Amino acid sequence: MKILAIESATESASCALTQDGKVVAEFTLQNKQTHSQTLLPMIDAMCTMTGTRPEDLDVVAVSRGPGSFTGLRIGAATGKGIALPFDKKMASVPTLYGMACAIREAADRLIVPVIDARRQHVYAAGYSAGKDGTLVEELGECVISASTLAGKLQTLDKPVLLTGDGAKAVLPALLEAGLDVRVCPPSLCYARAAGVALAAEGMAARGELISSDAMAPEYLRLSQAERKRREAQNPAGHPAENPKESPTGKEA
Amino acid sequence: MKDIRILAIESSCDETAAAVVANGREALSNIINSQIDVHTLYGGVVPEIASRAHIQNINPVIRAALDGAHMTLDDIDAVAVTYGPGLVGSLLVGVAEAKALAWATGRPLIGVHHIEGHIAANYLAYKDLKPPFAALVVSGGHTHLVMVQDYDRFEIIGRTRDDAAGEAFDKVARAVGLGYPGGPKIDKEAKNGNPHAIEFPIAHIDGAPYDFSFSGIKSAVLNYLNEAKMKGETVNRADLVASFQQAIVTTLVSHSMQLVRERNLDKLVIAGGVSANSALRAAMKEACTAEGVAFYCPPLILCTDNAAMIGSAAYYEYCKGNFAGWDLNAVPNLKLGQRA
Repeated sequence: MKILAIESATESASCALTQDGKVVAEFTLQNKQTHSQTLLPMIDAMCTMTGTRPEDLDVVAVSRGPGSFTGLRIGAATGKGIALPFDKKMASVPTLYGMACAIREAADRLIVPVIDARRQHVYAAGYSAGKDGTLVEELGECVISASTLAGKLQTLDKPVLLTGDGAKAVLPALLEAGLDVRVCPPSLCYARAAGVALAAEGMAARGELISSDAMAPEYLRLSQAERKRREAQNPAGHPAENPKESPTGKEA
Repeated sequence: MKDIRILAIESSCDETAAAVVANGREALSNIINSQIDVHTLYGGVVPEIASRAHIQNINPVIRAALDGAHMTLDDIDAVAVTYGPGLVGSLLVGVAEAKALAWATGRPLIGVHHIEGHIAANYLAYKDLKPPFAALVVSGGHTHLVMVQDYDRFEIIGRTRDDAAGEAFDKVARAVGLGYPGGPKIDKEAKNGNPHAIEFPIAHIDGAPYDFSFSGIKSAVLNYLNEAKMKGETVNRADLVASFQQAIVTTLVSHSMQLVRERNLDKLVIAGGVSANSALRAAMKEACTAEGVAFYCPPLILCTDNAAMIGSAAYYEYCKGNFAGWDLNAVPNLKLGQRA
């Protein structure tokens, strides 16, 4: 199975090609250029060097979020545009899950990918290695403050491995809570497309692929205008946010 | 000669649109998915909501454009997209999608300026229309008086110093309780009013006779409402909006006709969302007839944001071999006539 994967949820822009679980190529940039200018030239270079034509692909996988709203849409639109002409199936890969898949073989700890969500929150999830090499979700993806995350991880009571651009921000709170925490080295600490492709392999095997029409980002957050509107309609203070955002998300 | 068919995508504001255009002159399909109902809840376009809707809608809209033209991507010679000006988040969806489609199908990519697209809407409506001509482009985001020298050469003669004409319509509509979108609602309400009931000021800008300013008219309307409220008088809303509309239309027409006379032109074109305004169309037509100038205005479906006009403008770039690279980016403040 040939998979083209795209990761543009965070500052890193990344694309990868895998063949039956082997990472044939991966191209990642971590600079300040916009994903809009880098992503397709990277895909073009990678496919040219590997002699890959879009029609040869089996799956186009995209990191679906959470992450930068604009970054997610650039990735999704790029994937949708590549998939559409040949009616390729798409894998809509949860970004945090893809980040965990990138390091799953190396981890004997609870993998906690963390992305900076601004407003003093992060996007986070928790996965542990299952028996057959798959990942078991122990903490569902959420928008969460560092202290609330620390509390949730305490109840799971497992040594933690942090990855992602939000790792440094939550580390002090986790250490303060007395958790056994390590942070991935910089070479493994960013979102990359190889993880998205490896996640997509599993999703394809489980029949979780979708059409390019259905592919859309999962933001985990409402737009500011929608949030304010709901707050105005619902002033009693019930969490009017996306259900996946913790009630403490309103502190920010 | 073989037909050149361009698949065009437009997502610069709150319409997700795709079209197939043959030889720049014939819209084989023109699909527009409007988000207006969603944005009406907020009294105007919310950029993040617009961007989210674009990514949901874009593939079905493209598919509908191909189906409507009874074509597949194999029949398409190039992919074109609006890359500015507009809302950056909205533009990026169309740009990323168009680039990927062009790349995957091995077709050339053409980046189109949104306003150049609006002007080109007239090429679809009038098969014989050729530059040079004067063009007045008026919409919610733009007010430009343009000398169209050639298909790809534009000279900006005048522009708004503050609000776009459509923006003034929206703000006044909100102030008088007509709601969003202001243009069509004021147009309708004004039909019941006396356009000469109230004299609103028409701004003239020293040293820039072709530039526009609409914030003064808008403020005058708001002041009028305030004063009436303080005096406890009821406002005749139809008279008020008819007079406001009259002031805007008079400015647009007088500037346009001044240009036509000064350059001794025989053609005047209007374009953009506000060119759907019935009072503007009627007044401009009357003025052109009086001057012996041919007047062109696109049908309403081509006045609103659409992709067919982008496909038309793109054809002339195609003929010149003016193609974009895979690094094409959205340029929210793209200048008219600028090339990527």
